[in-house]
Order: sequence, then C-alpha cells, then structure tokens
Amino acid sequence: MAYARKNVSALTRTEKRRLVDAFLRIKRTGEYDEFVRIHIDHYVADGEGGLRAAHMAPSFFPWHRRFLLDLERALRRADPGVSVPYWDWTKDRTPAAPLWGDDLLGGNGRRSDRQVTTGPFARRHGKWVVRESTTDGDYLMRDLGRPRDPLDLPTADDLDGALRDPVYDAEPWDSTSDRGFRNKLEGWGAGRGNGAWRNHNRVHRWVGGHMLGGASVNDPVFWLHHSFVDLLWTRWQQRHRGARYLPESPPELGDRQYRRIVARHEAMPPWRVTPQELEDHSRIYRYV
Amino acid sequence: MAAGNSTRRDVVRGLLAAAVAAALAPLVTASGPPRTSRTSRSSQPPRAGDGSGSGIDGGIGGGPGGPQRFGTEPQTRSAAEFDEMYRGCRIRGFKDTLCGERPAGTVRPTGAVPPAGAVRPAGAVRPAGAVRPAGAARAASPAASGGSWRVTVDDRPLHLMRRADGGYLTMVDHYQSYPTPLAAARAAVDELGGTLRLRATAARAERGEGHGHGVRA
Repeated sequence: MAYARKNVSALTRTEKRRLVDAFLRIKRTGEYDEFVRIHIDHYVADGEGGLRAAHMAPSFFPWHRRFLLDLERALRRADPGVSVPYWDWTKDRTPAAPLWGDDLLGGNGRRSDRQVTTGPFARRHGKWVVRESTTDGDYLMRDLGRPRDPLDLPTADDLDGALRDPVYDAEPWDSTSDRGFRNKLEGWGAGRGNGAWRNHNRVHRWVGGHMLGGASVNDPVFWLHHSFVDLLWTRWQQRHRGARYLPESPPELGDRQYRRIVARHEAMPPWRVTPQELEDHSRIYRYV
Repeated sequence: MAAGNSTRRDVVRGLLAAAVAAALAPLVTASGPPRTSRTSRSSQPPRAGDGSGSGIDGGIGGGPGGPQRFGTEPQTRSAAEFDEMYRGCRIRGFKDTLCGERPAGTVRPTGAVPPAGAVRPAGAVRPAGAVRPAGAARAASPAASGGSWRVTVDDRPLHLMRRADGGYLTMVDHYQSYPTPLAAARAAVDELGGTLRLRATAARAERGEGHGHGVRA
C-alpha cells in the first residue's frame, strides 16, 4: 500500500523525532554520504559534453524522483514509519518556519562562518560531520535569505508561471529552454542578478551554504525541497491531463543534444529506470 | 546503486588519468608566478558577481539591462588570463588550450563505447547516451570550445563548468552561472566568506585521482 508524504509543517513532534533519528542513523552507517557523492557525480552542465541526467535536462524530475525514492528507502530501512516530508516554500517562507526548529532541521548558520549551531545537525553534537564537500569546513552551513544581498523565496505566482505551461519540456532541452514546465520549474533564467534564479534554483540560493553548491545534499533540507519539487511534477500532470514526459524519442545523430539527454523510454544513469517508469508514483507513495 | 556508481567513478577515474595527464603541466605552471604581464591586482574589489569591475573581463554579458545572453567565446578570448587579489583571496585563471578542443555534443570515438548490448539489461531499454557514464565526457573533454579554464583560489583548484549560454558555473555555486571565469571565481570567493577555503583535495581530482569535481574528503 502506498505510504504518505506529508507537509513538513503538519508533522507531529514524534514524527519529527523519528525522521531526524532515521537521518542520523543512515549518516552514521555511511549510506548518507553516498547520496551526496551521487549527486555531485551526476552534475553535468549543458555547456559540457556528455550525458546530462540530473540537471539542465528533461530528466531533472524523474532523476530526482528516483534519487528521493532511494533515500526514502534507506530511511525506511532505519524506521519503516518515516517518509520524506515536503517543504512548501511558497507558504513557509521565513527562517521562523517550523521546519527550521530545533526539533527538526535546526536554524540558520551563524554569521561568522555560516555554521549551523542549533538543532540535531549541528556539528557540536558530532552526529552530522560533513565529509563530502567543496570547502574545508566539516560542519553544515546555511545562509538563509542571504542577508548581504537579500532575496525572497519563490512565490505562488512564480510557481504558477511554471505550472501553467502545458508542455513538459522543449528544445533545446537544456538550461536555455524558454518554453516548457521543466526549465521554468528547475529555474534557469537568463541574465544576471537575483532575477536569474527561479523556483527550484532560487530555493537552493535562498537556503545558501551547502545548498548552493555541488554538495547540496549535505543539508537534509535538500530532500524536503525536492519532495515538494516532486509534488509539483504531479500537480502539473493533474493540471494537464494526458501531457507526458518529453522528448518521447532521443535526438538523432546531428542534433546538438544527440546522446546528451534522456528520452522517455531510455534508461537514466546510475539506474536502469526510464522516465516513463517514473511518471506515476501512486502505487508507491502519495502526497497528503 | 552504490556498486554501479563506484563502477562509474572508476571509469571516470581512468578517463581522467588518461586525459588530464597532458593538461597537467600548465596547471603546475599556474602555481608559479604569473606567466605573462597580463595580470591585474585590484585593490578595490568589485561588487560580487560584477564582471565589469577590473576591466579585464569588462562588459561581457552586459550590466543591468544589457544583453540577456552571456559573452561568446571571441569576447572572452581577450581576457584569457587573470591574476588578482579579491577580498583577501588570490584568484588566478588561464585558458588551457593544450587541453584540446571538443565541441559539446561531439560523438565520442567508438572505442569509448562498450559493445552494443554490453550493459543492456535483458529485455530492456536502450540506456540513454549509449551507456557512456554521466560525467565521463565532462572529465575527459574540456568545455564547449577553445580549451578549458584552469582557475585557482589561493592556489586551490576551482572547478569550472560551462553552461549552454556560454556562462560559467563553479562547484561552490551550482545553481547560477556567471558571464566570465573571473566573475565566477569572484562569486565563489564571496561564498567562501573569508572563513573557508576550497578543499585541497580538489587538487588531487585535477590530477586524476578523484572525479571531476574534486570533493573527496
């Protein structure tokens, strides 16, 4: 039977404690850091050669759906009663929101070095030591809202701009696609400054610290963010009945995207699963 | 999943060892004094992400209200090297043309692709990209055109990636691109915030002992 993924603001005290304990447990076994590495390894930018599965590509949604499922399975091996809640950042918009509380993710990083010093993932407890990172600190970092050049989380209107698009994705199937739900939600804008960050990307920027970089998975909020992104794919499907993952077939020889993106029936690395197989999650989990 | 991934990394590691060897000499050179007189030492740091501050990469991509797309290759070629102090960090970069040129999307040599069906599961789907591990090409081939940039912050390598619009991303800031390598390097220094350094182990990755991002602890 399908299990439920809940809004993080609706979790009970006990649910929060069990979720935190499950995270700490798979961190202790080393499983968690493997997820950090996988995300780093699969970040291929679209100005480079090579297959892009995770970002700047149509398979952004199914890749992260499968990635989340793997993490959730690891958590549920530790505690079969937990699932990955979602963070609706159009509603929980401030550092005072419950998810940043001491009983769940902990709060903002301190001003001097952005180190998270509150909650269960604070370095001083010794249970959340960052091992896979781009910088030399071994502590979790956040910079909520980036005070030195503030920006807000995406709004419901921003989100609606993406959800309104009836086409899943469009040529050139990368970060410069100006049509299609996928890039509008993934959030690659043109130009510079705060306006260049949209939706999914903008949330990474708003949290800051580890969430801004390749090692973003070090912050457990990564999963809550992507649980919501995953829900948005489902909402888009519900809004545009019959709309499917695109492209249906791979770009042909001679196309700039030849062998660089994953079509509907092709397998995504590092798994063998296709986007089509991930279009419907209703037998595994549902959002409540 | 874990096993598959480590296999993939092994492949990348192998490709790196082969492909990066030739590019190593210029990296070592970059650790010494500036190679040419084309250097810049800004005593007044430009604003974060402002590519027009020092003049060395000036104007590319335009300021507010400027062009939406970032600079094209011929424009960046005029700033093929930089060396400056920015917020207390020494940032240096040069374009490593010895690393070869391979346009993005170039079909790999057939020798790099396993025999058809080699990894195809029974009854199954064709793996996307003809089984090339993600990231392998990134590690083996430089950016979209004209060689790849080698950038260091306080002598520690800062891995740059290209975006399809010509912009640059760094491993410190993966969700926004910048018009030039210098602007990307300054933005990375902004993120380091004066208290952090890039991991020294990144250098190991550049030498082919890790993967392209060089973040192994």
